[in-house]
Amino acid sequence: MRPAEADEPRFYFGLPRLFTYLRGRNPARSEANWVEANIAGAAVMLVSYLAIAHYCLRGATWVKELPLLLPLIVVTWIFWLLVFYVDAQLIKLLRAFGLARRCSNKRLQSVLIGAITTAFACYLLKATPNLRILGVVWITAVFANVVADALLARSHAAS
Amino acid sequence: MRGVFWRQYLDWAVLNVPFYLQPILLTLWTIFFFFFAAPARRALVSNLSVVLPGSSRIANHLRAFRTLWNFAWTIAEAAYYKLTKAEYRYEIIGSELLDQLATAHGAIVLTAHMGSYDLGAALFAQKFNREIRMVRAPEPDSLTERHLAASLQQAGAGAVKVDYNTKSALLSFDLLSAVRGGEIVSIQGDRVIPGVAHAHGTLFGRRVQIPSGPFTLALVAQIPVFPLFIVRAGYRRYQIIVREPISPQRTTRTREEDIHSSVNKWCDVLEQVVEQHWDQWFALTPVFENNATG
Repeated sequence: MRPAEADEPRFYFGLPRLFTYLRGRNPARSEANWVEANIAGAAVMLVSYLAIAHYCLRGATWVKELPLLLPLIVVTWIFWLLVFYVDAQLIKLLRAFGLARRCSNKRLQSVLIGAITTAFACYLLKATPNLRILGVVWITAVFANVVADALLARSHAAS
Repeated sequence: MRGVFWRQYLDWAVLNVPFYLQPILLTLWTIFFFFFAAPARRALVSNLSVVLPGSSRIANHLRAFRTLWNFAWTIAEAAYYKLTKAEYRYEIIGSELLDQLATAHGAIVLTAHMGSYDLGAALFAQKFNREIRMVRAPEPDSLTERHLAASLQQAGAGAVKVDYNTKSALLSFDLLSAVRGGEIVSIQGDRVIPGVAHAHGTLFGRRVQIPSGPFTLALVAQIPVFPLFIVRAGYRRYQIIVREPISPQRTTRTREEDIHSSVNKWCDVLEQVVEQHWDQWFALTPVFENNATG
């Protein structure tokens, strides 16, 4: 994180920060939170994996599905590695046009990753009821975080 | 698997991938290396079979995975520190000994391929505002070697100098002059590279080769050898373990016998620490003599 960003109200996860703020503690962004690091990352991978698996295995019987579930983890992983690379090129392009210069690469990547995962979650809304629940949970979490970010930004601007 | 590409990729990822994706990505990369870095995996399994006798091969393979996973975290967090200067929490076990080391006029820090020795050197240099000269085994790949040396110097903000453990006698004189001048020299004492002077010791009841250079240097310069280990204690959290210094003494015995006595003391310390933190002993080559790899 760039030092200048540390106290700015651009939070990776606004909701836990908002709770911290409401309890009277310092809501500054931190990358040292083990729980956030593990839960958010696992959620991104889970949503994308299930969406990719649902797309690739649509119409297949469980006998065909089962052996493909493991290779699809590798597919999801490679997909994200490619996304990181393409995003990095896109960020370079944005910077070349003088845009988003105050944000770090990781922060911009985070926005793009959030958008892609939300697209996967929207796709899951059309899947089986269980997958639909996961999609709804993700979209609700994203919405709650955006609202929390906005509230924190407002309080930061007022202070 | 030895090229500099992986190190450069890691640096790129640290700067470009959000922190919350790092745990899952490190796990996936560990799975990849577990299968494709077969010699390292075999060496770990082989070493673990001695460290934890009586355990099954499957259990040791799982432990090897855990060790590689810790290795992935360790190098990723070291790269993270180097590039962002993020703050790490650390606890010191043996803080009075660390203070002794910090004020010593010339000392040798003897460490192992364990936890984050790179990060540890940088933290030490920063905390005590002292320079450290680090002697490492040369990397098989010259570009990786250059990258690691640059990383260490960057992490230590210039306070960590890197030398490579080679056959050259010049390095010995250089190190002797450094410790006599009051510098701290850090050496890894759990692995011998071909052609470098060594002594025999016993670890977990098995014969091992231990570099004798640090003990010879300490004996000649009459300085203490501080066993020091940096182990990962959690997410961006470390433990610095400092043990009682070993002070090689010149006696009426032969020099080899004097050195052997210090080597034995070092082996005792190393054995205790490895027994406790076997999952962070990054001995990626077979350590024990006559140990079949599997």
